[in-house]
Amino acid sequence: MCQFKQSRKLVVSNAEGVHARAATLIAKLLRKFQAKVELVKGAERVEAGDVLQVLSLGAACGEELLAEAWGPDAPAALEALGRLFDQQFEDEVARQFGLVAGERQDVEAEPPTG
Amino acid sequence: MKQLRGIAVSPGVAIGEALVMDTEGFRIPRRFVARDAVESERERFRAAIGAAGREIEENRDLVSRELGEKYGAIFEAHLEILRHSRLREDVEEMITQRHYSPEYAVSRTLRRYAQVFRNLRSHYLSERAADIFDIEKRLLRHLLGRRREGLAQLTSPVLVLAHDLMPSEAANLDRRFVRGIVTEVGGPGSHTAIVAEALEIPAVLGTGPFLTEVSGGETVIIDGDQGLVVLHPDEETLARYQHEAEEHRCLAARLEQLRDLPAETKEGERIKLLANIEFPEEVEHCLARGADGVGLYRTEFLYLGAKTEPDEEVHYQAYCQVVRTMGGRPVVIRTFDLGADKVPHLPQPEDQRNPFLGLRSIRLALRNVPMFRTQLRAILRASTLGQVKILFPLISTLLELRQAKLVLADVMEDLEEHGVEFDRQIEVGIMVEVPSAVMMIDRFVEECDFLSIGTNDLTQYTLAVDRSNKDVIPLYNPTDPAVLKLIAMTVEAARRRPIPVNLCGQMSGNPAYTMLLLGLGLRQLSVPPAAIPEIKRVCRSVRVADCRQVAERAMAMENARDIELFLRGELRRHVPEFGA
Repeated sequence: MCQFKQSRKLVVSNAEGVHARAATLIAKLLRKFQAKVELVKGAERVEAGDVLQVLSLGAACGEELLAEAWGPDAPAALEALGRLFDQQFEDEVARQFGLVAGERQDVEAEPPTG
Repeated sequence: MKQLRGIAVSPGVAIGEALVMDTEGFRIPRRFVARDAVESERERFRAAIGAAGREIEENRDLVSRELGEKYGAIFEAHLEILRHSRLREDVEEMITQRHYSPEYAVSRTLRRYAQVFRNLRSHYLSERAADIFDIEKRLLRHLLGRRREGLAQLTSPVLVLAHDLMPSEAANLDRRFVRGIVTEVGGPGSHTAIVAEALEIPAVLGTGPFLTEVSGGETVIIDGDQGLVVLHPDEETLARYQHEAEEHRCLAARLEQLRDLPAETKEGERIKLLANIEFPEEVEHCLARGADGVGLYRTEFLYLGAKTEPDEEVHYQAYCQVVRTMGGRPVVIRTFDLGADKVPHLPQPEDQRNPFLGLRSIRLALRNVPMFRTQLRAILRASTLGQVKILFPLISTLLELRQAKLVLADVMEDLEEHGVEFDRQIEVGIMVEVPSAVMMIDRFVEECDFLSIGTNDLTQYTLAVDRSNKDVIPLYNPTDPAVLKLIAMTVEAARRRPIPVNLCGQMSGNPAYTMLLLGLGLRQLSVPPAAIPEIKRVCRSVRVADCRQVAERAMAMENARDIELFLRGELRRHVPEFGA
């Protein structure tokens, strides 16, 4: 399977930046995938699945992050991540990914239709 | 490594483990665990994570139900941090590899992150530091269980770091184990400062916020000479301070040798060195240092350390202890000198805008005569055991003094009627600390048996400077020529009468001022016990004639700064050991 690094540019477009809720959603989302994902901002590189590390990036509105992923489902992981960012971590998106509080987490994420 | 600047209120250097008091009074009990306890400590940590996690889930569900999911989201984040971030790994590694206690490891790890967050430019993100502290608190609560140890149950030497200490906490510090104090607020003259001096431990106050940057158990250096605090000291700094602490010890040992020698100038003129004390327990220090008596027993802590007004027996026991221990040496007991705000069992005054100029001290005592009488009764009863004198504080007019003496006379009559013994000839004096008293000093000396110059407050009132106000502290100078003039006037008036006069403010304990004070004519100084050896050393190294010259030159100068520099120079000349 493809083990090369996949990458994708992410733009932070919500006003509060990658805040606690956002970082939590990212971590939960990535647990559904096998890929190892890292986020890069300038000289800093952190594990995207660790909310403390992601928060410490201090990614603010308007800033760009680079997501790098390794593993069989890397492209899918990046795609999902990209959508999360594009939709500004809206509740609706989170719900579609089954990331909202209280919902069972062991169901595979269904890509939203339309 | 981080260095903080604060106000030096008690001299010396302390190096040791921090005991950090947060707003809930939490502290980390210990830093390391035994090797064979590592496994069980790790288990304990995992259990705490589990319990904390369940608790957060409950909170999340509750809040989500009541207010909606969006509000429950923050708990999701906490849960995420708790269960899925590196927190767990990092802490477990600290326990396993470095044998840190789970409490210390948790605190250290989380505070490091909190620091990172605080430094982020985004305002929102930097506020997330609060979340980190919240998680820390929760975990610590689960790790420590119900055992919230306050300052009472100490078992090893610590340096206490807190936002502030309540007067009752300061009063009840365990002197066996507290080796230094740092508080974010406060200044000289605060109860914390007074207690630190009494305990003879280094203290730095008013550093501003810093508590979140240090964890309990970490090494901290307190430099009570320079007013510095060092967090996470590097090797070099640690070595430097250890060296300094060693030098302090050597100097102290040398001065110790002076203990049984009299405080005599080179011409053989005897200077009486008395001690200022706050607690009865300090008399041991007094004797150990060779004090000639107690020049000022500040009775405030009888009121501060208690929840209700101390009754006559409480006063009596304390005074007895001091008088008995001092043998036949004089003990000057100063009556109540507090404001109502520090004494919960008194009605709070409505107007507290200018506490230093308000209803406090002798004024408050004269308005609460039963309380005043209780103290006077106890002092009189204790006067049969030795040489006791009464000192009235903050006297500003002759009328005030006469009123106070009337109450005293009344109490004496009362005791006589009931056949209770006391010293009928007991000497009565006033604290000279209000400028009006100095202006009328010729009249006052006719109605007092002795005078005690309180330069702390005298300087405040004369220069109109609040010495607890950080903004104007540079203006507070006891060597201001105006203050020196007032001291000179008082000493002269006492000399003419003659009645004894001593100086009991902080000035008296500073060796740089000794020659000046002797030169102005003072032959009695009341100082913190720890300062006695130093002042004695100066006395024994100088001649009165030289002191007079120093005083003359100082009095001719125009500003405090020049006078300070001059006096330090003179100290260096006459006592090279104290140069710096």
